Amino acid sequence: MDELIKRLRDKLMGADRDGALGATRELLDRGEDPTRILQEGMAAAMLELGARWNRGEVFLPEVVAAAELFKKCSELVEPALLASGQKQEGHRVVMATVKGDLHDLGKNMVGAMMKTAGFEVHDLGKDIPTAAIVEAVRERQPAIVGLSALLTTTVPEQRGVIVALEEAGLRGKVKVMVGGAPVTQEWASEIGADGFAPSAPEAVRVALELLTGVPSGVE
Amino acid sequence: MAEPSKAGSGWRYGLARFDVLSDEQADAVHEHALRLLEEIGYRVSYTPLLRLLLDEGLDAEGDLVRLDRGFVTEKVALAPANFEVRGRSPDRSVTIGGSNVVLSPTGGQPFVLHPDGVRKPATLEDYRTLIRLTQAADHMHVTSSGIVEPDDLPVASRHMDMDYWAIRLADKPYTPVGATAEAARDCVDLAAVAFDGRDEIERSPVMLAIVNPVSPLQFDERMGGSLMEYSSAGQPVILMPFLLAGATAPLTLAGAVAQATAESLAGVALVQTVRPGTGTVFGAFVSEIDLHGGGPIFGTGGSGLATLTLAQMARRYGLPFRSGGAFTNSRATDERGVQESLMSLWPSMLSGPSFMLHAAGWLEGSLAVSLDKFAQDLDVLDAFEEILSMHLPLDEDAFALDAFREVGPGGTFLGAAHTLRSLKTSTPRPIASNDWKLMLDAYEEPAIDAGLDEDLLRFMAERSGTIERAAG
Repeated sequence: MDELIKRLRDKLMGADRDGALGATRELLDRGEDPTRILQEGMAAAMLELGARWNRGEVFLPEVVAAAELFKKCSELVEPALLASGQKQEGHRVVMATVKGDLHDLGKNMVGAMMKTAGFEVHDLGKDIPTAAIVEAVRERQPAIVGLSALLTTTVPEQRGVIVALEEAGLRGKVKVMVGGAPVTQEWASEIGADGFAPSAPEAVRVALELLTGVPSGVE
Repeated sequence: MAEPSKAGSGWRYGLARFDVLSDEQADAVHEHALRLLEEIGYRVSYTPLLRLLLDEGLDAEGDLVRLDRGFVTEKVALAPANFEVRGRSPDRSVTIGGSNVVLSPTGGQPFVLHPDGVRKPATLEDYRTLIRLTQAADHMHVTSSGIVEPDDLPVASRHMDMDYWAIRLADKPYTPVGATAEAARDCVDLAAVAFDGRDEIERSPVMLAIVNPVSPLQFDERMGGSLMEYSSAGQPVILMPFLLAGATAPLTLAGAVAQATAESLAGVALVQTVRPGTGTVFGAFVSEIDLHGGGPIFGTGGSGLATLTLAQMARRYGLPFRSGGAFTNSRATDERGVQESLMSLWPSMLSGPSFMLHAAGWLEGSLAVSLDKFAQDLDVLDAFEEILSMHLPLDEDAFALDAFREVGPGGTFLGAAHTLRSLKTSTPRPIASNDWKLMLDAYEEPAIDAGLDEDLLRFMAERSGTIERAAG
């Protein structure tokens, strides 16, 4: 394996910020194919990290830190990707904590897990108005939109987003997943969501099944 | 062998409260708490509350306010060391602070674990059953209006329905459930109808409001708004940071404890800014997380130590302390549930709390409540009260010299006159003696004036109508 690609992979898995960003810059400076940087360096690191997490070899904070660093490295690579006219591979996910709710711990865990499974994650943040979520779906054309709510009083916003997607003519173009402590499969079914997961690892499994129609086998 | 606690009034903590930190260590926690508020700042997203702080001359960048130590110290000094909260029945009033210990059941759960082992979203009927059980339970001195969240009530007006039934089916002080400015205002207005008007409840508070920062270091619009409404009405506020070390607080306990102290002090200071002299409770809940899966874990040594530390800090500031309660991740009343609940309750109780929330009924990491768990927790609360209230009569009759003279060496005390005489006052209650079915059978609904009930229902109907129309 290319030494610099390997260094990027190792530094990203170790959440070594300076090391990972430095390796990314070096690769870009030498004119490396940005898709190769993304796939063989960064995505591969996250997939390996995810496998180690599944085996109980790394802690969740290490995964979250790596996922945040992945985002920083992606920001460096993106201009080169756009310039080369290449599209990012990987299923795209838009995530948000719904309007009125500032809790995002669970969402952030799911985002980190999704990245380790090779998803391209766009996290809109917390307390996100329905209109902004719909606009993000329109612009970014994700395969999945994930909606998080921790409060029983903000959970109904998830229904609101689904209704707004229908009104915008976008509902048929995206799978909707819902989650959060008070959320249940019954609620998800009631509001017409495509998927629900009670935990971050489950969310990855459900997302993969939604997109492939095949049980993922992810434990 | 606990004496029956005077229902609704709490019990007296009879042991000496002990410090776990040296003076220097406590100073370090204090200093770091103040530095968090001064250097990192506190986000206050509710504009009217933010405006009050800016009027105090505090530095801010947008909604991020630097709470300087002078401000915090001055405001915290205005908080009373103890205060009274009354129930619908005068006998049920509680004093928060001093050596009084007041207990309340769990709150905030969306699900109920039924006796058949099935977990379902809570309904209004579940809610009413749990309120009745709280009323029937001598060890529960404050009703938790949020004991479960009935899924079959409309969200927009649910807070009023819940508070109404807490007032109607019980006559103890209660913790209201409104958690936005508008909902809190409704809860205050409902209480004003129930308790002879706004002036009267301001003069003599009837509820203990719970306000949580969204850790770390922020009050969102909802919590800022509810803090302001309850404080404006003179209703005491329990500041309740809920910290997960490693997630919403630093992984190291020192950082988590400093943060809990900072968030509690900030909340107390904000309440005193809104309405000086309003009762406040320094409350904090530091839990640890499973670093593999990310979920909270309960009954750990770190959490227990944090509780004892924070109790000491509350005493330093002359503030009542909230701890507690019987926490577990278990989804059933099983061995794990018992172990985690006991390991949570012991440090919570040894901290000498003024108020304990979640003292009974908590399951599944706060997602569920069960009647069986409620009863199970009452069993141990009985023993805790006996130990910690130091119920150990040491009078001459208790030393039983006449019994020794009657029984002599090698004899038995079973039929002795002293034993028979002492049966009424010294009968131990075995663990597993609380039966929720019997308690519910024995429940008596407190009387309510028919006219008052009509007033309450009319208020809710009018207000619900307004809410519906506003929602279009």
